[in-house]
Amino acid sequence: MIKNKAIMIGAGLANMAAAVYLIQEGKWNGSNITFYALDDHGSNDGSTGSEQADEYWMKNHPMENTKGYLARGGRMLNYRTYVDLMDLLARIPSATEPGMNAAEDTHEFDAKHRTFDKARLLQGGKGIINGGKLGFNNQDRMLLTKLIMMPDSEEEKLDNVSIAQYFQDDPHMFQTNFWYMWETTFAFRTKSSAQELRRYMHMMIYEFTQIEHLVGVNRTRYNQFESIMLPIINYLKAQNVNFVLGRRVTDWDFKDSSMQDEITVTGLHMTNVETGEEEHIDVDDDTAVIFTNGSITDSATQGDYNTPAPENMDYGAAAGLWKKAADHFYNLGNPDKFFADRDASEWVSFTLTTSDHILLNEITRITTQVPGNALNSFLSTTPITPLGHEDVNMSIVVHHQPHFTTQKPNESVIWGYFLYPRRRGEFVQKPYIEMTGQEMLEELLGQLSKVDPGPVNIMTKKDAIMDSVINNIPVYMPYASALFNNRAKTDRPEVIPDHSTNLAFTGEFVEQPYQMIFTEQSAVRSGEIAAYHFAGIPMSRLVKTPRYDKDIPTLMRATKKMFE
Amino acid sequence: MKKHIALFTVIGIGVAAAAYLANRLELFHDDAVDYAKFDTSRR
Repeated sequence: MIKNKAIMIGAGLANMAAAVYLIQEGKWNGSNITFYALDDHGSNDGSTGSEQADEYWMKNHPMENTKGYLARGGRMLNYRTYVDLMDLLARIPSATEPGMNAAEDTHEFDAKHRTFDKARLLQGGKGIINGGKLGFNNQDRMLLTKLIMMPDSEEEKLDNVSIAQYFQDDPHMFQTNFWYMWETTFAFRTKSSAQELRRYMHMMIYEFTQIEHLVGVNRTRYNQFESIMLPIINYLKAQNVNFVLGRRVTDWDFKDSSMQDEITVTGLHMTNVETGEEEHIDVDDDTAVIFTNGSITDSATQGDYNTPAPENMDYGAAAGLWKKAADHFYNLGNPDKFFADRDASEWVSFTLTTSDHILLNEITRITTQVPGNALNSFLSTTPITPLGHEDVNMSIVVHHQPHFTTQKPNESVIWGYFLYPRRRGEFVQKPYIEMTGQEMLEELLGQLSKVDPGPVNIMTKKDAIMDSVINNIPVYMPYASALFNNRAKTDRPEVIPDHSTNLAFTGEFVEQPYQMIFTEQSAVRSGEIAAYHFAGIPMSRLVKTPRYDKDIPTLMRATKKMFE
Repeated sequence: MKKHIALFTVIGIGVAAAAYLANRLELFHDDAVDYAKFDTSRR
């Protein structure tokens, strides 16, 4: 249904993309687009700790120490497959590099700082492991080949099948270098969806052949907020798009219809989270409502150097609103699949800021690579999984420095995460989720000391490193992997659900043909589809998705790699 | 004669394998079809 105005619920990347395409391709006036959202970064954050300390999810959890920087999550791009994201970035000026668009900014930086990870996996007693040896047996190869050979049209066969269930007769899979790298590169857990693993094996098959070096990974110049979100925000504001922040949309008014299946939004209820006042807006016939129905950083909370991140049991703002829509109509999916199973979705991350480069230099020495290349994952030396296997304890990303535009030359920022936050530390005897920023740093130093080739172990510099800490901010994200949760195809609404006259769903919790989630790619594409739908732009003009899974030479290389 | 039978058998198996592969990989599927139902440009 063609419209001329839009209300955006949520100001994450997906809806911002929708706004850009409405303006540029639909020739809409920016003033006809209004965002209602808690904040303007969604899951693509990155700023000083003090800025994030004041945000909505922190209102009941004041931080004592707000110094340093914070990025709750990290992002790795892949030009070859993130084609819609790169198309979007090519349409807007860079926020930091004059004369460049945001895509040129990233291309220019990335060309000068190619990723080539030389220490993807490390393990005590062995140091850097040769991850190029994927470690498959024939059963692993057979089951992975089955996934790769399963066409899109048969995807429902994997409805409600978890990765653990898919490989239930092949526990060896979870002891391979492939799994250790795949789970930590993309954040899959054994409870995650086999359906989504199939999509990744298809869309990322190109990366399968070079995963040990992350050669296909492209990185932005600065953090994801300053390099991706800020350029879009600046552009949209210049186009007179309205941003109404500090609003939590809480409920819908839907039009009554005789069959009760026509989805037409007629009004929205919301709370002004700064004043506590309840507000209501009418939605007229000429207005589209574009709704991002879930956020992986909803309900995320921060601690500090001396305080663990508290657990916030809130269901999540976007997911809560999705639930109300799904309760009303039968074809809008099942949000509980993603937001009522924290055991499958939660993570803890940390952002460490130091006042010098001692730790950075030590990591460079131990991993044999300069900052900007790495995703280093530390394998346990003892069984830590329920199946009695070794697994990755923690992973770190040492960004090219500076990672924030306001970062001082003497400062370093390092990001890390624990995919299974209820597991216990090896050096600090408590679950990661209960650790302070200081304890997480001690755990990291312990892991580094185990793989340190010497002759002078990093632990000899522990006091100097601890003295250099400005802050280490732990973040608990109950829904960080929610988008990977086990699901059926009907558990997510389509971008434009059947019988919808003015409501679209965008982001990482929508069903789109063959797109893989947890990529800015799928988020941007969902916004692009919604924009094209409401502006009457032919879908044939959507950015073409490359299908490496149908490229015979790529498949041949992947087959060869399976036997290495 | 035997050579011809062997040749045709090999070719036959090759064609069948290629057809099976093309079918499993949906090599001739037009992805644009998947988005057609969202298209409002001709309404």
